[in-house]
Amino acid sequence: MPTGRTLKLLKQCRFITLCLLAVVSLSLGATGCGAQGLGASGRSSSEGGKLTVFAAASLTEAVQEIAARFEADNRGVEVELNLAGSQELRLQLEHGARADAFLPADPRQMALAVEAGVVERDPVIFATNRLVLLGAIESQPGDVPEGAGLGESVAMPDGLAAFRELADPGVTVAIGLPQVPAGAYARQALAALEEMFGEEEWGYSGRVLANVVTMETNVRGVAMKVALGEVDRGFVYTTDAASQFIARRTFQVSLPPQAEPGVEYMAAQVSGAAQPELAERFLDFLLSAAGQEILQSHGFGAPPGGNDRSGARAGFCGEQPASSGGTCWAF
Amino acid sequence: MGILSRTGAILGGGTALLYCMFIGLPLVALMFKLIQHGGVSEALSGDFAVTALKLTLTTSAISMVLVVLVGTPFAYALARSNSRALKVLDSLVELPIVLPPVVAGVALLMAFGRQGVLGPPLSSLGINLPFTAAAVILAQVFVSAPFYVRAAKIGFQAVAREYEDISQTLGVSPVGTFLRLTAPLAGPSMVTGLALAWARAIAEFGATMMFAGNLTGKTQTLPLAIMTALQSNLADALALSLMLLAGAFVILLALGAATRREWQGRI
Repeated sequence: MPTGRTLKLLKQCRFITLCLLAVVSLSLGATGCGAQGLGASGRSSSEGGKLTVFAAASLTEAVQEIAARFEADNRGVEVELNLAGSQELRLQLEHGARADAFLPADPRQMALAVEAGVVERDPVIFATNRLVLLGAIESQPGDVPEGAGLGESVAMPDGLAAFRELADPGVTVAIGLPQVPAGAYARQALAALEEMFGEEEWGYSGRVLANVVTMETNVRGVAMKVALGEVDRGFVYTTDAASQFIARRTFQVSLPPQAEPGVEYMAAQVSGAAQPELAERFLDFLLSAAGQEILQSHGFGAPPGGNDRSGARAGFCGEQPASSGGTCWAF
Repeated sequence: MGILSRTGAILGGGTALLYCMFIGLPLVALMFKLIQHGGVSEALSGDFAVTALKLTLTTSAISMVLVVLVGTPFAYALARSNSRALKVLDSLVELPIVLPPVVAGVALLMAFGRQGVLGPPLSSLGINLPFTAAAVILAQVFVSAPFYVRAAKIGFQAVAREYEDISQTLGVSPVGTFLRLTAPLAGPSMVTGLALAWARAIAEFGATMMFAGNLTGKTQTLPLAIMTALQSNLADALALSLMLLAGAFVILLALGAATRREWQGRI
């Protein structure tokens, strides 16, 4: 009877689809939690070992090169990188992810990590960066500033036209989530611009935020959507536009100095690191001439306190505000 | 015989237990952690949770209407036709399931994005798809339709052609035959497929993030809201996850009950 067959087939179909669903949901879960599994191996000998570094997404290429150099300089050492939005890395650490060093793009994320007790209390600033406005070349060919392209910074005619335009209706903007460092800095910059514009651009920051079509979980998501030409403008770091793919398709506009947030990258050893010595050596390498050279070749700035580690620490932890950004993070 | 059936019972019972523990434990852990973190009320009273829930329900409902409207005739054609082109298509139906969702999102951008293949003609018609609720629906349809088409096709194949022939020789029109004979017989399959497709649609994340973006009230569905909450607060994310789970549970139960009641007598 075909009816019996129907039932059997139905059961098979349900089983197969259920299995498929299980596989799909499992793989989804795995990608979401993959980073939790990244752990430093138990070996703690000073010779060799695996060093796990959690670094901000914007550091991707620079820290990859640094890791490669560090491996070359330290025989038998293997550096494992987990690259994501700083806030996500911090949450992973807070929920027990094993790592040796934490390199967020925002002192606020480091402060929260220190507060949660997941990193040692002596973070150092090892690099700075600049927040810029990234524009898609292909999106509105009419208003690409002269000489734009190849990722070069563009000086706008009156310096601020590109920023005024952000509040125009119809312009689409990508930005990081408020929890994401690049998103927090962008909101800071918008507030500063609003203050600069004053009554000329009433409610500027709110109008720009109303043009936001997507809030990304890390700065590279913003850069990618602008580079694909799907969103007109976005706030990223100048170093994010360095890759050829993005540089070819975008132009950058520098923020006026008054509106520029001080972007600082900090590094700290993770509490209970499996490789404390290696982590310490890695942090020293970040501040060494060789480490700084790599960072600067990727467009990052030198730490405000100079290149030696104690200097960076003093500049950061002293009672006076740090030289850039006017903020000091006391731990 | 006795030994065999006992082995079967042990094997069946053992694997059932293993399966339930493996699948059940994370779900129970989710609830347990939620209670530990201080309960649901605070996060769920938030505006963005309700907004995300509403958006998820409406977009996934529209997606399912589209999937059924287009997927049913397509599945029927796959089940009945001998055309070689359809045979090739048949083996490709599952492709979107294998594709990592983010890749699906990029593919959708390449097709319907502003710089995509269909971007310029669409925008000349005044249609702008990326980063809209319509993009959310397209992403959901893209990843979920295969589940429905596959299940419905198997359902149609199980309906003997002779029944349809007899029905038509008795003077019932082809459409009438489909609606009154084939569809009811294949009904459980279709509903199972729809439930899976719907579940996949409300859980859709990667393609939505890429193609529709993440904006509260516009494109932020529950999975995206969960991911956003995860950036700062585990408790909110847990509460939202529970909301998603509870909603899915209710609808799957209802669908299960409906299939059993409607069709059990007929097959």
